[in-house]
Amino acid sequence: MGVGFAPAAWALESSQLLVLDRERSLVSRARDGEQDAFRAVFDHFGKTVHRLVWDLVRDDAAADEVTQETFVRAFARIDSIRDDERLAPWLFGIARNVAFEHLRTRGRSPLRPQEEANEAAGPGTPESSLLGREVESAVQTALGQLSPDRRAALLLRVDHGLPYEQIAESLGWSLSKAKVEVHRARKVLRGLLSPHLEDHRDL
Amino acid sequence: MTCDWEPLEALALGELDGAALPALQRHLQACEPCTSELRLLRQERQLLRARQTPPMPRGLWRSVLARTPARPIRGGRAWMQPLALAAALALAVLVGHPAAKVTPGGSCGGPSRQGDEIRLAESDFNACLVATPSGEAALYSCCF
Repeated sequence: MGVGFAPAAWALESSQLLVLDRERSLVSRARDGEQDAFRAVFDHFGKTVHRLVWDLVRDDAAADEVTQETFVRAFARIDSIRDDERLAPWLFGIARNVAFEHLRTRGRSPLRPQEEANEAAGPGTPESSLLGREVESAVQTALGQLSPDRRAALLLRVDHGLPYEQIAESLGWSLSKAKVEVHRARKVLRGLLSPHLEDHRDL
Repeated sequence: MTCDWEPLEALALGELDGAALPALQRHLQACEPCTSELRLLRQERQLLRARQTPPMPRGLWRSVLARTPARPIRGGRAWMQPLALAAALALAVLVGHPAAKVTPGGSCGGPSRQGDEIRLAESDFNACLVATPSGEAALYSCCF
Protein backbone atom coordinates (compact mmCIF):
# COMPACT_ATOMS: atom_id res chain seq x y z
CA MET A 1 0.00 0.00 0.00
CA GLY A 2 2.58 2.53 -0.98
CA VAL A 3 1.79 6.11 -1.70
CA GLY A 4 3.91 5.84 -4.83
CA PHE A 5 5.74 9.12 -4.99
CA ALA A 6 8.89 10.02 -6.86
CA PRO A 7 11.64 7.50 -6.14
CA ALA A 8 14.69 9.40 -7.25
CA ALA A 9 15.79 12.37 -9.24
CA TRP A 10 16.66 10.26 -12.27
CA ALA A 11 13.16 8.87 -12.50
CA LEU A 12 10.96 11.95 -12.04
CA GLU A 13 8.42 11.55 -14.79
CA SER A 14 5.51 13.56 -16.06
CA SER A 15 2.98 11.47 -14.13
CA GLN A 16 4.86 12.27 -10.92
CA LEU A 17 4.94 15.94 -11.79
CA LEU A 18 1.17 15.73 -12.15
CA VAL A 19 0.95 14.26 -8.65
CA LEU A 20 3.09 17.15 -7.41
CA ASP A 21 0.82 19.70 -9.08
CA ARG A 22 -2.25 18.02 -7.62
CA GLU A 23 -0.70 18.05 -4.15
CA ARG A 24 0.12 21.74 -4.39
CA SER A 25 -3.38 22.51 -5.58
CA LEU A 26 -4.80 20.51 -2.69
CA VAL A 27 -2.64 22.29 -0.13
CA SER A 28 -3.60 25.63 -1.61
CA ARG A 29 -7.31 24.80 -1.38
CA ALA A 30 -6.91 23.51 2.17
CA ARG A 31 -5.17 26.75 3.15
CA ASP A 32 -8.13 28.61 1.70
CA GLY A 33 -10.36 26.71 4.10
CA GLU A 34 -12.00 24.36 1.62
CA GLN A 35 -13.28 21.41 3.61
CA ASP A 36 -13.35 19.06 0.64
CA ALA A 37 -9.59 19.59 0.28
CA PHE A 38 -9.10 18.38 3.87
CA ARG A 39 -11.30 15.42 3.12
CA ALA A 40 -9.32 14.61 0.00
CA VAL A 41 -6.06 14.71 1.97
CA PHE A 42 -7.53 12.36 4.55
CA ASP A 43 -8.96 10.02 1.92
CA HIS A 44 -5.61 9.83 0.16
CA PHE A 45 -3.29 9.49 3.15
CA GLY A 46 -5.47 8.22 6.02
CA LYS A 47 -4.88 4.49 5.60
CA THR A 48 -1.19 4.96 4.90
CA VAL A 49 -0.67 7.14 7.97
CA HIS A 50 -2.69 4.70 10.10
CA ARG A 51 -0.53 1.78 8.95
CA LEU A 52 2.72 3.63 9.68
CA VAL A 53 1.40 4.77 13.05
CA TRP A 54 0.39 1.23 13.99
CA ASP A 55 3.89 0.08 13.07
CA LEU A 56 5.29 2.68 15.47
CA VAL A 57 2.96 2.24 18.46
CA ARG A 58 1.92 -1.41 17.81
CA ASP A 59 -1.37 -0.98 19.60
CA ASP A 60 -4.76 -0.83 17.85
CA ALA A 61 -6.49 1.79 20.00
CA ALA A 62 -3.36 3.94 20.21
CA ALA A 63 -2.95 3.79 16.43
CA ASP A 64 -6.49 5.15 15.99
CA GLU A 65 -5.89 7.97 18.48
CA VAL A 66 -2.50 8.91 17.07
CA THR A 67 -3.85 8.92 13.51
CA GLN A 68 -6.72 11.16 14.53
CA GLU A 69 -4.37 13.54 16.34
CA THR A 70 -2.02 13.56 13.35
CA PHE A 71 -4.68 14.86 10.99
CA VAL A 72 -6.11 17.32 13.52
CA ARG A 73 -2.62 18.83 13.91
CA ALA A 74 -1.94 18.70 10.19
CA PHE A 75 -5.09 20.62 9.36
CA ALA A 76 -4.41 23.14 12.12
CA ARG A 77 -0.91 23.71 10.70
CA ILE A 78 -1.69 23.57 7.01
CA ASP A 79 -0.52 27.18 6.66
CA SER A 80 2.96 26.18 7.81
CA ILE A 81 3.66 23.83 4.91
CA ARG A 82 6.15 25.37 2.51
CA ASP A 83 5.34 25.73 -1.16
CA ASP A 84 8.10 23.31 -2.13
CA GLU A 85 7.27 20.79 0.60
CA ARG A 86 5.64 17.46 -0.19
CA LEU A 87 2.54 16.38 1.66
CA ALA A 88 3.60 12.80 2.36
CA PRO A 89 6.82 13.50 4.33
CA TRP A 90 5.15 16.43 6.07
CA LEU A 91 2.28 14.23 7.24
CA PHE A 92 4.54 11.31 8.13
CA GLY A 93 6.72 13.69 10.14
CA ILE A 94 3.74 14.84 12.18
CA ALA A 95 2.61 11.22 12.60
CA ARG A 96 6.06 10.20 13.80
CA ASN A 97 6.13 13.02 16.37
CA VAL A 98 2.65 12.28 17.67
CA ALA A 99 3.47 8.57 17.89
CA PHE A 100 6.63 9.28 19.86
CA GLU A 101 4.72 11.57 22.21
CA HIS A 102 2.33 8.67 22.78
CA LEU A 103 5.17 6.26 23.43
CA ARG A 104 6.71 8.68 25.93
CA THR A 105 3.44 9.24 27.80
CA ARG A 106 2.97 5.49 27.87
CA GLY A 107 6.03 5.57 30.08
CA ARG A 108 8.38 3.90 27.69
CA SER A 109 11.35 4.98 25.73
CA PRO A 110 10.66 4.80 22.01
CA LEU A 111 14.22 3.61 21.52
CA ARG A 112 14.19 0.28 23.29
CA PRO A 113 14.01 -2.34 20.60
CA GLN A 114 14.20 -5.25 22.99
CA GLU A 115 11.05 -4.11 24.79
CA GLU A 116 9.30 -3.78 21.49
CA ALA A 117 10.42 -7.26 20.59
CA ASN A 118 8.81 -8.64 23.71
CA GLU A 119 5.43 -7.46 22.57
CA ALA A 120 2.92 -9.62 20.81
CA ALA A 121 4.14 -10.72 17.46
CA GLY A 122 1.54 -8.86 15.45
CA PRO A 123 -2.01 -7.72 14.97
CA GLY A 124 -5.29 -9.37 14.39
CA THR A 125 -5.96 -12.62 12.72
CA PRO A 126 -2.99 -14.33 11.15
CA GLU A 127 -5.31 -16.86 9.56
CA SER A 128 -6.30 -14.25 7.00
CA SER A 129 -2.73 -13.17 6.35
CA LEU A 130 -1.36 -13.38 2.85
CA LEU A 131 1.84 -14.74 4.36
CA GLY A 132 0.53 -17.51 6.58
CA ARG A 133 0.64 -17.59 10.35
CA GLU A 134 4.27 -18.51 10.86
CA VAL A 135 5.78 -16.06 8.39
CA GLU A 136 3.46 -13.25 9.45
CA SER A 137 4.46 -13.77 13.05
CA ALA A 138 8.16 -13.91 12.17
CA VAL A 139 7.97 -10.68 10.17
CA GLN A 140 6.16 -8.82 12.96
CA THR A 141 8.57 -10.11 15.58
CA ALA A 142 11.56 -9.14 13.47
CA LEU A 143 10.18 -5.64 12.94
CA GLY A 144 9.67 -5.40 16.69
CA GLN A 145 13.40 -5.91 17.17
CA LEU A 146 14.09 -2.61 15.43
CA SER A 147 13.90 0.71 17.23
CA PRO A 148 10.76 2.63 16.20
CA ASP A 149 12.76 5.20 14.21
CA ARG A 150 14.76 2.58 12.33
CA ARG A 151 11.58 0.58 11.74
CA ALA A 152 9.88 3.71 10.44
CA ALA A 153 12.77 4.41 8.07
CA LEU A 154 12.71 0.91 6.61
CA LEU A 155 8.94 0.83 6.22
CA LEU A 156 8.76 4.32 4.75
CA ARG A 157 11.20 3.12 2.09
CA VAL A 158 9.97 -0.41 1.39
CA ASP A 159 6.32 -0.42 2.43
CA HIS A 160 5.35 3.16 1.58
CA GLY A 161 7.75 3.76 -1.30
CA LEU A 162 9.16 7.08 -0.12
CA PRO A 163 12.48 8.18 -1.61
CA TYR A 164 15.34 8.71 0.82
CA GLU A 165 15.08 12.49 0.57
CA GLN A 166 11.52 12.37 1.89
CA ILE A 167 12.38 9.81 4.58
CA ALA A 168 15.09 12.17 5.82
CA GLU A 169 12.57 15.02 5.80
CA SER A 170 9.96 12.96 7.68
CA LEU A 171 12.32 11.85 10.40
CA GLY A 172 14.41 15.01 10.66
CA TRP A 173 17.58 13.28 9.51
CA SER A 174 20.29 13.92 6.97
CA LEU A 175 20.05 12.05 3.68
CA SER A 176 23.06 9.91 4.55
CA LYS A 177 21.59 8.97 7.93
CA ALA A 178 18.34 7.90 6.28
CA LYS A 179 20.28 5.58 3.95
CA VAL A 180 22.43 4.17 6.74
CA GLU A 181 19.42 3.49 8.98
CA VAL A 182 17.51 1.67 6.24
CA HIS A 183 20.63 -0.37 5.46
CA ARG A 184 21.08 -1.32 9.11
CA ALA A 185 17.40 -2.20 9.45
CA ARG A 186 17.69 -4.48 6.42
CA LYS A 187 20.73 -6.21 7.87
CA VAL A 188 18.91 -6.99 11.13
CA LEU A 189 15.76 -8.08 9.34
CA ARG A 190 17.61 -10.39 6.96
CA GLY A 191 19.40 -12.04 9.83
CA LEU A 192 16.13 -12.73 11.61
CA LEU A 193 14.15 -13.72 8.56
CA SER A 194 16.74 -15.72 6.65
CA PRO A 195 14.81 -19.03 6.83
CA HIS A 196 11.69 -17.33 5.53
CA LEU A 197 13.56 -15.46 2.84
CA GLU A 198 14.81 -18.83 1.61
CA ASP A 199 11.27 -20.19 1.78
CA HIS A 200 10.03 -17.24 -0.24
CA ARG A 201 12.64 -17.47 -2.96
CA ASP A 202 9.96 -17.89 -5.61
CA LEU A 203 7.78 -14.98 -4.52
CA MET B 1 28.25 -0.68 -15.30
CA THR B 2 29.51 -1.26 -11.77
CA CYS B 3 27.57 -2.82 -8.91
CA ASP B 4 25.34 -0.20 -7.23
CA TRP B 5 22.66 -1.04 -4.69
CA GLU B 6 20.48 2.04 -5.27
CA PRO B 7 19.31 1.17 -8.81
CA LEU B 8 18.84 -2.44 -7.62
CA GLU B 9 16.62 -1.25 -4.78
CA ALA B 10 14.69 1.04 -7.12
CA LEU B 11 14.12 -1.90 -9.49
CA ALA B 12 12.98 -4.16 -6.64
CA LEU B 13 10.52 -1.50 -5.48
CA GLY B 14 9.14 -1.04 -8.99
CA GLU B 15 10.51 2.47 -9.37
CA LEU B 16 13.11 2.05 -12.07
CA ASP B 17 12.28 2.45 -15.69
CA GLY B 18 13.36 4.53 -18.64
CA ALA B 19 16.94 4.74 -19.77
CA ALA B 20 18.49 3.20 -16.65
CA LEU B 21 16.62 -0.11 -16.96
CA PRO B 22 18.26 -1.75 -20.02
CA ALA B 23 21.77 -1.07 -18.69
CA LEU B 24 20.91 -2.57 -15.32
CA GLN B 25 19.32 -5.62 -16.94
CA ARG B 26 22.48 -6.21 -18.96
CA HIS B 27 24.55 -5.90 -15.79
CA LEU B 28 22.31 -8.38 -13.97
CA GLN B 29 22.83 -11.00 -16.67
CA ALA B 30 26.53 -11.01 -15.88
CA CYS B 31 26.57 -10.31 -12.13
CA GLU B 32 25.47 -13.06 -9.76
CA PRO B 33 25.91 -11.01 -6.52
CA CYS B 34 23.61 -8.27 -7.85
CA THR B 35 21.09 -10.85 -9.09
CA SER B 36 21.08 -12.44 -5.65
CA GLU B 37 20.72 -9.06 -3.95
CA LEU B 38 17.81 -8.15 -6.22
CA ARG B 39 16.10 -11.42 -5.31
CA LEU B 40 16.49 -10.66 -1.61
CA LEU B 41 15.21 -7.11 -2.02
CA ARG B 42 12.14 -8.40 -3.84
CA GLN B 43 11.45 -11.01 -1.16
CA GLU B 44 11.86 -8.41 1.54
CA ARG B 45 9.44 -6.10 -0.24
CA GLN B 46 6.92 -8.92 -0.58
CA LEU B 47 7.10 -9.81 3.11
CA LEU B 48 6.82 -6.23 4.35
CA ARG B 49 4.00 -5.21 2.04
CA ALA B 50 1.94 -8.38 2.49
CA ARG B 51 2.03 -8.37 6.30
CA GLN B 52 -1.09 -7.39 8.16
CA THR B 53 -1.85 -4.28 10.16
CA PRO B 54 -5.28 -3.46 11.58
CA PRO B 55 -7.57 -1.58 9.18
CA MET B 56 -8.28 2.07 9.85
CA PRO B 57 -11.65 2.21 11.59
CA ARG B 58 -14.60 3.65 9.73
CA GLY B 59 -15.63 6.98 11.15
CA LEU B 60 -12.13 8.23 11.86
CA TRP B 61 -12.65 11.12 9.45
CA ARG B 62 -15.76 12.09 11.40
CA SER B 63 -13.67 12.22 14.59
CA VAL B 64 -11.03 14.36 12.87
CA LEU B 65 -13.66 16.69 11.44
CA ALA B 66 -15.35 17.10 14.82
CA ARG B 67 -12.02 18.35 16.22
CA THR B 68 -11.14 20.55 13.25
CA PRO B 69 -12.51 24.08 13.56
CA ALA B 70 -13.97 25.50 10.38
CA ARG B 71 -11.52 27.89 8.76
CA PRO B 72 -12.45 31.29 7.41
CA ILE B 73 -12.59 31.29 3.65
CA ARG B 74 -9.65 33.29 2.34
CA GLY B 75 -9.02 35.21 -0.81
CA GLY B 76 -11.55 36.14 -3.45
CA ARG B 77 -14.13 33.61 -2.41
CA ALA B 78 -15.13 35.29 0.85
CA TRP B 79 -17.31 37.88 -0.83
CA MET B 80 -19.29 35.12 -2.49
CA GLN B 81 -20.52 33.56 0.73
CA PRO B 82 -23.58 35.79 1.15
CA LEU B 83 -24.42 35.17 -2.49
CA ALA B 84 -24.06 31.43 -2.03
CA LEU B 85 -26.29 31.51 1.04
CA ALA B 86 -28.86 33.67 -0.70
CA ALA B 87 -28.89 31.36 -3.70
CA ALA B 88 -29.25 28.28 -1.50
CA LEU B 89 -32.08 29.78 0.51
CA ALA B 90 -33.85 31.01 -2.62
CA LEU B 91 -33.57 27.56 -4.13
CA ALA B 92 -34.78 25.94 -0.93
CA VAL B 93 -37.79 28.28 -0.73
CA LEU B 94 -38.63 27.60 -4.35
CA VAL B 95 -38.67 23.86 -3.85
CA GLY B 96 -40.00 23.97 -0.29
CA HIS B 97 -36.85 22.35 1.04
CA PRO B 98 -36.15 22.24 4.79
CA ALA B 99 -32.75 23.81 4.02
CA ALA B 100 -34.60 27.14 4.14
CA LYS B 101 -34.31 26.89 7.93
CA VAL B 102 -30.58 26.16 7.97
CA THR B 103 -28.29 28.65 9.66
CA PRO B 104 -25.29 30.08 7.79
CA GLY B 105 -21.97 28.33 7.75
CA GLY B 106 -23.14 24.76 7.77
CA SER B 107 -22.38 23.90 4.23
CA CYS B 108 -19.10 22.47 2.99
CA GLY B 109 -16.17 24.66 3.91
CA GLY B 110 -18.40 27.13 5.75
CA PRO B 111 -16.66 29.61 8.00
CA SER B 112 -18.76 29.26 11.13
CA ARG B 113 -18.91 26.74 13.93
CA GLN B 114 -22.69 27.09 13.86
CA GLY B 115 -22.90 24.55 11.12
CA ASP B 116 -20.82 21.79 12.72
CA GLU B 117 -23.68 19.29 12.76
CA ILE B 118 -24.36 19.97 9.13
CA ARG B 119 -20.67 19.62 8.36
CA LEU B 120 -20.62 16.24 10.08
CA ALA B 121 -23.65 15.11 8.14
CA GLU B 122 -22.01 16.32 4.97
CA SER B 123 -18.90 14.38 5.79
CA ASP B 124 -20.98 11.22 6.06
CA PHE B 125 -22.36 11.77 2.59
CA ASN B 126 -19.06 13.17 1.31
CA ALA B 127 -21.05 15.93 -0.32
CA CYS B 128 -22.44 19.39 0.27
CA LEU B 129 -26.05 19.26 1.35
CA VAL B 130 -26.90 22.93 0.94
CA ALA B 131 -24.47 24.83 -1.27
CA THR B 132 -20.74 25.25 -1.62
CA PRO B 133 -19.01 28.43 -0.48
CA SER B 134 -18.35 29.27 -4.08
CA GLY B 135 -22.05 29.22 -4.84
CA GLU B 136 -22.20 25.95 -6.71
CA ALA B 137 -25.38 23.96 -6.44
CA ALA B 138 -25.42 20.96 -4.12
CA LEU B 139 -24.25 17.92 -4.48
CA TYR B 140 -20.65 17.47 -5.47
CA SER B 141 -18.26 14.76 -4.52
CA CYS B 142 -14.79 15.09 -3.16
CA CYS B 143 -11.99 13.56 -5.08
CA PHE B 144 -8.20 13.71 -4.97
